[in-house]
Amino acid sequence: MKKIFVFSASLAGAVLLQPAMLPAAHADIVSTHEFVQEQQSGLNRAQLTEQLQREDVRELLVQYGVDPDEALERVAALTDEEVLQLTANINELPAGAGISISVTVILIGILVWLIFFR
Amino acid sequence: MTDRPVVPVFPLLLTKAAQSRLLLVLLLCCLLPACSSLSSHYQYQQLSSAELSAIELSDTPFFPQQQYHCGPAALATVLQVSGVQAANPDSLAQQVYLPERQGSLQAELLAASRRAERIPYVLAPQLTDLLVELAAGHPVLVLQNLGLARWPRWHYAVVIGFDPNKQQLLLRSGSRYRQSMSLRQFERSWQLADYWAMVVPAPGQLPATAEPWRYLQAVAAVEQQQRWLLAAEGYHAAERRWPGQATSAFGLGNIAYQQHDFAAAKAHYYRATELAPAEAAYYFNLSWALLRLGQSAEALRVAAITAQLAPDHPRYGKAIQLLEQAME
Repeated sequence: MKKIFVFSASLAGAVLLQPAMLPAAHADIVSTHEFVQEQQSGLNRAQLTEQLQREDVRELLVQYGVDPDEALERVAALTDEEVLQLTANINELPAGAGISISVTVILIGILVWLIFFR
Repeated sequence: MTDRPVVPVFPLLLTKAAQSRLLLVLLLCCLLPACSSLSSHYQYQQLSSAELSAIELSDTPFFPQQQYHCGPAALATVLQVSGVQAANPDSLAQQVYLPERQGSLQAELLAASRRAERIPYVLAPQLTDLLVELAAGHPVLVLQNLGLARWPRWHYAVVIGFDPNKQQLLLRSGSRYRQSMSLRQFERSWQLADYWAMVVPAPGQLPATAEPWRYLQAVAAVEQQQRWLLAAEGYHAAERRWPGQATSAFGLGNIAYQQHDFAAAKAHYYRATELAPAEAAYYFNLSWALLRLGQSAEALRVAAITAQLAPDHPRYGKAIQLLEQAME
């Protein structure tokens, strides 16, 4: 619950502060990743809020248990699209884990309980 | 699960009430798989196995997974194969494991590969592409959902082999060194994870199934992180594979520009405009390289071409004004 609150607060922050970031982005050449993105999606989706959202994702990672210094490096290695993805759904994105107590074992446990102990 | 031999033995030992409950449970067990496969369409049914040959990349290293750490283990496996000697699950866990989610996200596996100076490539969502990569000697890291769509159990594993006769894939998975999985069973788990798969080619190599835009996107991601040498290597590899593709020259130009080598940037941009004479972005960046070289008149002339090619574009349409602002 707390996570959801912090997450929506940071998202709201990103939206509110967006205009402050506007002037810096369009100063110079078109970057290759912007160009490729535009070619693929047919959209002109300049990532104006990039810096701001990177800071958001770093804070999210720290909330999710990552060491603050390490979080900085981890965010730096993400692309803009990946940053957007993480800001929007860090809680729903697939997190590969492969849990140790398998569902099979639990199901067999339930079966045994249903048959013998009820 | 339903074919476990223990189940049929039970009824002999049970009371009547227990037997009816058992019946109910068995009925439910039969219904569950039926529901989950109702509307599925599987790619493996279209495979012509006769044309495919068996393969097993048996040299692929194995890192038995510790609790929840299948992401770092699977990533260490493919990184080692691509020549990153230092890759191991413990150090990678620092880079990808998300404690509160008790797992690792796909984006972070890609990011960690970049930090290891490799260009990770996400495959097109096709079983045939996965098999082509295997045949080319690239183990494939896959995301699986071993649970249900509603109740997911996400897992990363590395596909290392394929047996067309038995219709099986071989995987390094979790604590299992050589798991064999039927194509059907595998594809079900993979389909539930949107057919997500990645490969990590060795430096200078392209994925066997590389598509131009998909690959350029992978290289641009590395360029964005200012890993200039790695990105340049990627663009050169792309140029060799697709000689008529102008975006590699554009990317090389951008690398030179960001390193303030404006003369080299200019040469690359010119080459890009020759390959694709109608692409506004290439002229746009060329005009900036010319401006930085002090060739203002030529820069403005190229900016005019940019604006002509894409008059309605929010940036290229204003190419001249943007240059003039920078000159002031």
